[in-house]
Amino acid sequence: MKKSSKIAGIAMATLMTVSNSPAIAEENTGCAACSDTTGNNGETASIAGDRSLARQKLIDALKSMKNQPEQIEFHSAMCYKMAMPPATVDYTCPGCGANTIHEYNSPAGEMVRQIASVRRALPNLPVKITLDESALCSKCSKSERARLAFTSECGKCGTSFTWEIKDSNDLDKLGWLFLDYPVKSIDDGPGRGPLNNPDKVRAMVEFVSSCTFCPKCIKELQLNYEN
Amino acid sequence: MKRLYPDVTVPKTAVLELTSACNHRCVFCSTPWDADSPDTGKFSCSDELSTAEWKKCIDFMIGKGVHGFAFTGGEPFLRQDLFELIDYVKSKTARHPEFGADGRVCGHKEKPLELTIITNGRLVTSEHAVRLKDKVDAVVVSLPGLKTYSELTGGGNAAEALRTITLLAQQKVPVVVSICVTSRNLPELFENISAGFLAGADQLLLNRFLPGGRGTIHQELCLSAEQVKKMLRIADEVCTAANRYGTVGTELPLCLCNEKYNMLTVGTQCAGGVEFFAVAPDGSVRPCNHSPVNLGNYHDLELAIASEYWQTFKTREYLPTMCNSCQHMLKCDGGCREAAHIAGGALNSPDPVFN
Repeated sequence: MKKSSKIAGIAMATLMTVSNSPAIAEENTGCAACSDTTGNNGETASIAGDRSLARQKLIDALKSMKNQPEQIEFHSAMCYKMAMPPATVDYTCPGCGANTIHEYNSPAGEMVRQIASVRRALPNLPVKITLDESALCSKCSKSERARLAFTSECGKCGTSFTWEIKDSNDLDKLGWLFLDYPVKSIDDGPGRGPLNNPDKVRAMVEFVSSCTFCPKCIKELQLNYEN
Repeated sequence: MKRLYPDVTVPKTAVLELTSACNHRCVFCSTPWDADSPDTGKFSCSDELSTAEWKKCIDFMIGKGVHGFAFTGGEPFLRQDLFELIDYVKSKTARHPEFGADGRVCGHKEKPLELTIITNGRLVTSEHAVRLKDKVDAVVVSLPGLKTYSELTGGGNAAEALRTITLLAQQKVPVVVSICVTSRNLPELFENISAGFLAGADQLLLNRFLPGGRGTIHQELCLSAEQVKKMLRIADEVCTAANRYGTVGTELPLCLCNEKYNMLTVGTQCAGGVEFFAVAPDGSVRPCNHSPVNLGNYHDLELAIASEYWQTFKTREYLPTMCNSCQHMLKCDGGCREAAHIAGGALNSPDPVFN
C-alpha cells in the first residue's frame, strides 16, 4: 500500500473514531486542545483519557507526513485562498486623481497598502499631524524615492516641523504613536510579553518625541537621551 | 492632503459566484442572495448568467485589470459548463506591469491568470480531479466538521469531502481544506483539521462563523473571544504537527490574536473591496462576499466602486468607536466590518465577537 493511501486511510479512521465518540461533538467545556477537562465524574475523565490518546496518535500520523509545505505569502484577510499576493498595487492620488502602479512588495507598495489606515489614524492623535503623500504619485512627484512626509505642530510650543518615513521599518514605528497614554507597559509583540529591552524603549521614546515635539522642545523636555 | 478624487481602481481578484444552486443547506452560509437570506430580495439570482455571459464578464474583468479569479457558488460543480469556464480563464492572460530599478513601470508582460475553485467537494469525481490537474492554482474543499458535518451542512457526510481531498491530492492538484468554525464544531476542530491534512490537503483555510445570509438567524453559532483564541491555538497545534501552513481568512481583531503562532497566519486587515470583490450569480457586484448590498451590474463596476459604500472599504473609514484609542489601529480593522454591519446595523459597529 502506498504511503499516501495509508495516510488517507488514517483520515477516514479519524472520521470513524470521531463519529463513534459521544464526547467530542457534544462537549462544551474544557480545553479542546489538551486533555484538560472540567468533568466531575470518572466517566468523563476516562473519555478525556481516551481522547488524549487518540489525539496523540493523530499527532504522530501528522508528523509522519514528510512533504515540504507550500509557503504562504500572506497579504491580507479574505475568505478565499489565493495562491499568491498580487504583484502590484494601484495608488490613486487624492489630489490629482492620477493612478500610479507600484510593486506590491516595494517600500512604495507597502506605503500604499497602509496609507488608508495612516490617514484614518492621524486625527486621533493628541497633536496635530498632517500627511503629504504626493511622493507616491508619479504625476505630482518626479522623485524616485518613496516616502511619506509629515508636518507636526509641536505639542509644547506649537511650531511646525517636518519628518518623514521611507521604508517598512519606519512604517512599523508609526504604530508607536498610537500607544495608550500615559504608557504603563508596552507589549513587545505577539507571544513576547512586556517590552523589557532598554534599547527598544529608547528608540520608541526618541521616535515618538521626534514626531510630536520640535527639536528645541525635545532638548528642553530632556527627551533626547543625551548626556 | 485633501481627498478630491475617489480611488476607483479595480481589485486584482474577482470572486465569481457562478451559481446560486447548491447541494448543501449550510446553517452558516453567508451568501446574501440565497433564498433563505433576509437580503435575497435585493438580488435576482433566478436570472443566473449564462455561459456566454460569464465569458463576457471574465473578459470585462480582465480588461479592467483583474489578475485572478475564484469560482464559487453555491456549488460550482453544479454548473454543467464549469470546465468550459475553467478552460476559458486558462486560455486568457493578464497584463502585468514590469518595473525598472527606479520602481517605475517600464513595460508589460502577459502572464497566466490565477484560478481557485471553492467547492464542498461532494460532486467531484476522479475524472474531475484528473481534468483539474495543471488547470487551477488551488481547489478549496469545505470540511466544516466531522461528526457535526451533516448537522451543519444539511446533508452528506464528511467522508465524501475527505475522499475528494484525497482524489485531488493524488493528482497533485493543490488542495486547501477550508473550515468554517462555529460554536458547534469547535470541540472537534483538532480532529477536523487533522483529517483534512491526513486526507492530503496542503494548507488550511480557517474561517470563523460570521452572521449573514442564512446564517443571520443562527447567531448562536458565533464564537466568543475565548473560543476564537482556542480556535487559533488548536489550529496552530495541528498545523505545526503536520508541518502545514494555515491562514485565518476572515480578519480578526488584533487584540484577540496576540499570541505567537508557528504555522498559522492571522489576518487583521480586510481585503474586501481593495484586493478582491464578489460578482453574484446575477452579475451584480459587492465589495466582499459577505456584503449584504447590491451595488449594480458589473458593467458599471467603476460606478459601484465610486459609491459611498465601497469607498468606505477603500478608505478604511469604518473603525468602531471602541477602537479609536487602540495602539493597533494602523494594523487592524477591528474585525470583520460586514459581519459587524449585519449584526450591528452599520459598518463601524463592533465585531460580533465582542457581543
